[in-house]
Amino acid sequence: MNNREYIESGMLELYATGLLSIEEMRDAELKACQFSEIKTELESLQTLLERYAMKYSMISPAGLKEQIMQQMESSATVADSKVKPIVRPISSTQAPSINYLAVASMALLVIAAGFAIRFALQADQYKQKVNQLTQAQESSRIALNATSHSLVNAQEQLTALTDPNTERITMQGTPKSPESIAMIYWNKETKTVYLDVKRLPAQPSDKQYQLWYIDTANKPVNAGMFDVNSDNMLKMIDAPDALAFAVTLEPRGGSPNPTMDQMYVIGKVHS
Amino acid sequence: MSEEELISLLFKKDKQAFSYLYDNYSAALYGVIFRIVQDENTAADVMQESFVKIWSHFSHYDKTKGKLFTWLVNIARNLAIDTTRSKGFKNQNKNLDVENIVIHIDAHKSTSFKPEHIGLKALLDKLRPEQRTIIDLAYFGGYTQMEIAEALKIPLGTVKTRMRMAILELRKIF
Repeated sequence: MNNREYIESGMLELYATGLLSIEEMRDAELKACQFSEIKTELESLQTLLERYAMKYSMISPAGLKEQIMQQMESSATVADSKVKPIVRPISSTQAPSINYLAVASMALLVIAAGFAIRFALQADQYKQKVNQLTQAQESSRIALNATSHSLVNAQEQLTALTDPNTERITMQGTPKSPESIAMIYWNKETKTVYLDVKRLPAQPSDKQYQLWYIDTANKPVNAGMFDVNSDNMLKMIDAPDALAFAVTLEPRGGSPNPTMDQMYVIGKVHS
Repeated sequence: MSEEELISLLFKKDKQAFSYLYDNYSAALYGVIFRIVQDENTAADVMQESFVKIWSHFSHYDKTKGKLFTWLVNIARNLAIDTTRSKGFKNQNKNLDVENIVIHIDAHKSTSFKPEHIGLKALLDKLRPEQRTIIDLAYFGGYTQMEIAEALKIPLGTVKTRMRMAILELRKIF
């Protein structure tokens, strides 16, 4: 089996998703060491799965990091410190004390002092604990707010996209940029327009893409500006009636009329 | 910090680097763990176990065998799977069979996963549910080829080609 055949056999996909037996894994690793072609392929698979896993990121519980750091810290100190046993000499020949009252009160004083110190230390620890908890609570509150905000957005999108009145329009690349492609989700009832850019060349910093719809009088109407660095679906300006949608590259801030020779994608409404 | 720098600092047991590692990878790893154990308390425990292991076993990381994230995910995933396969946990999630796994994951996703990545695009686009299932069963679920073949009711020999197709589709999406 040559390298190309090995890559096409699907073994590397199985390796990257953890499905190979130990012998097969060794074989794949050996090949990756020997041939840069296979190594590159394997790395790109791992990067792909990394990105896929990242999509499912979740905010980890507040305070967990502190807990973990603390655990590391304590396991490190236990290992490092050499605890020396305290040895107290015992004198065997001690005259029995007679002043019991003095001894008792002395002992009492020592015990009381001990308690005082302990309580003071504990109070300090509790204060720290309270501070930590307040901070943790605050950060989780912020995270929760952000999360519920984006959840509302996502739910709105989902409702809009699954609505039977929503039409999906594929805007194909023009001869200027045949590789480009973008989707429009247009709801004829609510008039909302969502744009999902699949592939468009990165815009120069002084330029911006502009979405247009062609109204029933065959006139192009502005439907909003966007940059192609966003991973999300974009909500654009509502389109009351549209025969087609198109995207042109315009000076940053937009143009009143589309620059026709800068059109990148266009797609007709089906009905 | 580049991945190279991070790795060399972690080899030196640098605590700051570990803190950086946590900040940058915990969300992804927690997502993976949660996906497997489906319970917040268990996920937090596994998370703690994973990071302690990452710290104490970092000398075992071998750059030539793959990217840092792959190694991290393997640790987190294996610990998570060990937990689900241990006694006591089995009964809780008995009904997590394959037919349900995608639905199950989706149901959770809408409440817990980073909503901007709610997978809408993937949902609407090219990756069909059965293609997602095969990736998820292997990569997140730790299923073997045999188990996947049984679960998807396909011949053992087909797992490889199916996986390759699914990953080719995934490539188109990213």
